[in-house]
Amino acid sequence: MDKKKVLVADDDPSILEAIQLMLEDAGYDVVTTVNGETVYQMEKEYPDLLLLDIWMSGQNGSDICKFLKSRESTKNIPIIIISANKDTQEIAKEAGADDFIAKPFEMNKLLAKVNEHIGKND
Amino acid sequence: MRIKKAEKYVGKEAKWPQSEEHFRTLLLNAPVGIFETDKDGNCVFVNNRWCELAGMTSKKAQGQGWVKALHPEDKERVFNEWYDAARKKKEFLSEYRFKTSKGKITWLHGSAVSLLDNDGKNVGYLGTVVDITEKKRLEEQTQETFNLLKTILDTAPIGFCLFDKNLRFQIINQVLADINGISPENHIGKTIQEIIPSLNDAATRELKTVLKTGKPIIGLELTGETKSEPGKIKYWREDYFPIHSINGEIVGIGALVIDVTERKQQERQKDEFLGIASHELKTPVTSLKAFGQVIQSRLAKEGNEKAVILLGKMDAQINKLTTLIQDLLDISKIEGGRLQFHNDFFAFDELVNEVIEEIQRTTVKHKLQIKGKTGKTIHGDRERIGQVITNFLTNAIKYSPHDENIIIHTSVTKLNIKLCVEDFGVGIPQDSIPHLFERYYRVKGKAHDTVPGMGIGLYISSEIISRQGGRIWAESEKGKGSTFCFTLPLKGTKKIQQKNTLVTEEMKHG
Repeated sequence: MDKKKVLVADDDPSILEAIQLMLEDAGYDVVTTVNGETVYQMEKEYPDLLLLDIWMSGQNGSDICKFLKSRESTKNIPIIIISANKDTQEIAKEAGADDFIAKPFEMNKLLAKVNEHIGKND
Repeated sequence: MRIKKAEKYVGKEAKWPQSEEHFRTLLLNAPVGIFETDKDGNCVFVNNRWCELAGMTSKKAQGQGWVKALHPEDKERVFNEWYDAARKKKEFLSEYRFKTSKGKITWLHGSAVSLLDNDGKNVGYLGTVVDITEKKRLEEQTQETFNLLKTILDTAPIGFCLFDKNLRFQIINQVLADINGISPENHIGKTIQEIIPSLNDAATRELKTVLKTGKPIIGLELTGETKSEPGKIKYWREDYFPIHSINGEIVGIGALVIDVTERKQQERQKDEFLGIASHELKTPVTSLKAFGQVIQSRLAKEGNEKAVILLGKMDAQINKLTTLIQDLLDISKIEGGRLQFHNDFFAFDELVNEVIEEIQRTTVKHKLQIKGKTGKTIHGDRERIGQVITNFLTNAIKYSPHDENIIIHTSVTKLNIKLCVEDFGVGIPQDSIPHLFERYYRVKGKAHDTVPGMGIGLYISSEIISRQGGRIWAESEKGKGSTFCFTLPLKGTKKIQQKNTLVTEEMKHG
């Protein structure tokens, strides 16, 4: 069975590495990027879930989310927004995100959310 | 005034003067200056008081001598007014000064009437002069006070204006006129609406409230654009206060206005900084925690129990660090009035159990027990209320280094749900209890000095509970333990914090 693919976008390389370890240990394939542009430009090889930081050094995560959700080819990709600010939860909802998790997070909570949403729109 | 026949004088005690001598005495000694001139203005008679005021003898006053009594600066005016009155066949009334040869100046109210013969021809003038020094002094004082007030109004670095009962500008100082970008004169008689349309009816509504209630409104924040800088959004802090007349009715409303646009900008900068600081601080903490948990999970799979436990302790410390960072940010938000709540309906018991479970994992020594339940769904900020429960539990653990039991009581009353956390630890001295929820307050005393804490957890908790519409309090006995409680309303009656506050009787009398 093919492993599900998760794309993680965050501007901090350490966090990316830690999340990658978590998800790979849990059996997922992981692609990481610090660059919001990469997420905008993804084509063909779409992930089964996107973990997206709300604030990525100049890129506005909620804009990326809105964009993806408005595009026919990407609107079914579940998006979980990560943010250091709990107040962002509402912004995440408005941007069309499927879920939200605050930093710093519990590993089991992150895994539970990924598990819940991944590939749900297949 | 025609010289009439003496009329009968009716009175109990006074006797109408019987002789010319008596008449003369009266005139001479009257408590006002009296004078008579012929039709050419030559003095015929002056009485004693006149002489006193003029500083000359009656002999010196004869003919044109009396003119020397007039203050040189007033002489021309007096004559002009006299001729004018004579021409118009009216009584001469004027205020002018005498100046004696010694230089003494006295302000007088002078009046004179024409004396006419039976054919109506003018034969002379009869007049009085009354000393009005006191009146003039009061007038001057009033003018001085008025000028002083006006200077204060114009130079005080605050916008001020007075609205009449119809909410139209009656008085306005330069500062406020400049704020509005319209000259002071062009404000008079207009309404706020006409001067600053961008306010819509925000200000007018509040002014009407002051008119109606007779109570001031302090600290109103308004925003809009003015003609002084069109296109730029400004912020003002305004205070409106009623002006009462002596009999208690409101005759106008005074307003103080300060431009706080720059302050707002600074606040926004501070907010931005805090947002960035929050992100920056939480970033390394996030990966610390994440790596720790990855290692913990891998070592757990390998069966390394000891390492797993140690990593668990590390994780607990990281959580404490996170809480401290969050507390600092929350304090700053509270101070700036920027603490926001995200309210929703949630099951209270579920939250309580969740928090207890989480905190229990951080301590092996203590046993957290829940007693009672509410079975209720309440409306509020689940995260923040959880924060308060966490704060109570971590305090209970912190202050019970020797006793292991901590009991969480939950209950319902008709209007509220109640939660209490009871510990059997070191307790709190009585005189500290009223200060527990104050910012930065830390209990003094041996047992407490060794316990870490910034003293802001309870302050934040009390802020959260009170803004969610509940009550928070503590009971304790030193050496025996403490109980911390809060209540929350059942029907989601969250108090709405208004930026402007109506000054109420309670507030006035503290």
